[in-house]
Amino acid sequence: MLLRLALAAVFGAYGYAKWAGGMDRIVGLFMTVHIPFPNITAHAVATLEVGGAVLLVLGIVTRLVGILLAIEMVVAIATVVWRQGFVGGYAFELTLLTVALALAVAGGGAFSIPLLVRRRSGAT
Amino acid sequence: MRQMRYTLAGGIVIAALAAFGPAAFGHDGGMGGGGGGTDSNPGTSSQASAARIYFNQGEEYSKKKSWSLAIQAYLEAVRLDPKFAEAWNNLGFCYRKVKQYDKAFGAYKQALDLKPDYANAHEYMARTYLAMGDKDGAMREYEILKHLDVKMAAELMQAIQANDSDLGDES
Repeated sequence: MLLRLALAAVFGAYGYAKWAGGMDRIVGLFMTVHIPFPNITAHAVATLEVGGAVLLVLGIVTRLVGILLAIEMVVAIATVVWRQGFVGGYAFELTLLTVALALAVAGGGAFSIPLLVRRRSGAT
Repeated sequence: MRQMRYTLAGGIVIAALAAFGPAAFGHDGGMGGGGGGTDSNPGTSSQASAARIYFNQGEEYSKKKSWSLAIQAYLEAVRLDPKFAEAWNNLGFCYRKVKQYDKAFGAYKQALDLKPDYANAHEYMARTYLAMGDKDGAMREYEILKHLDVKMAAELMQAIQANDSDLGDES
């Protein structure tokens, strides 16, 4: 649960920042690094980050969200931060990638909605 | 089975934090988390401050239009701190002023590798294309710039329309 909340906080904050006025900068950045359909992709990424954060908090489809966020981090590392080196470069994205992968492997864990529902239906 | 998965996941996280955690505290956001690049000055702090001194010197020479001296100062700045995006960008600016366009592009590329959303580098790159007579190249950079800095993009567009790379250009 701690991993879910930590990852949700980070991605939720960054996703919200994009929607709250940083989208144009992300589009420009995506154009610079030749990400296809930069406008659509920027909106999709921001939606994934905010939506993913909500799902992570609730513990719903945690594995899928973990995989999608891990893919985002792989692309971020490969296209943007790899060239900046490790320190001050891809260290942060690598850490997020690792946590996302850990959630993709472990699933929602304790205090997730599906687990609580399963427990409740098992108890009745 | 469940316990094994948790152990595996926990192991991955602990290994990552042990290996990378301390470095992550100085992160700049990057694209992934969503941030985008900002200043990052790795290397020793004394090297970074020395690089800053050469950078300031470069700016002074640049104001006086002493381009070759400015180039020397900026080269020293990026030698001391290869991740100094502003120094790379200003170096490119000076190379453009002395019509060494290939070197200018090389310097801008370094700046943009470090900070892909660096509006000023896109503007200077566009002006370099314009100086070379490549209006299409300048327009490509303009298309990016208008997402990053509307005011700067408008000034660039005036230069493109007038076909004058120096119009509205300040060091």
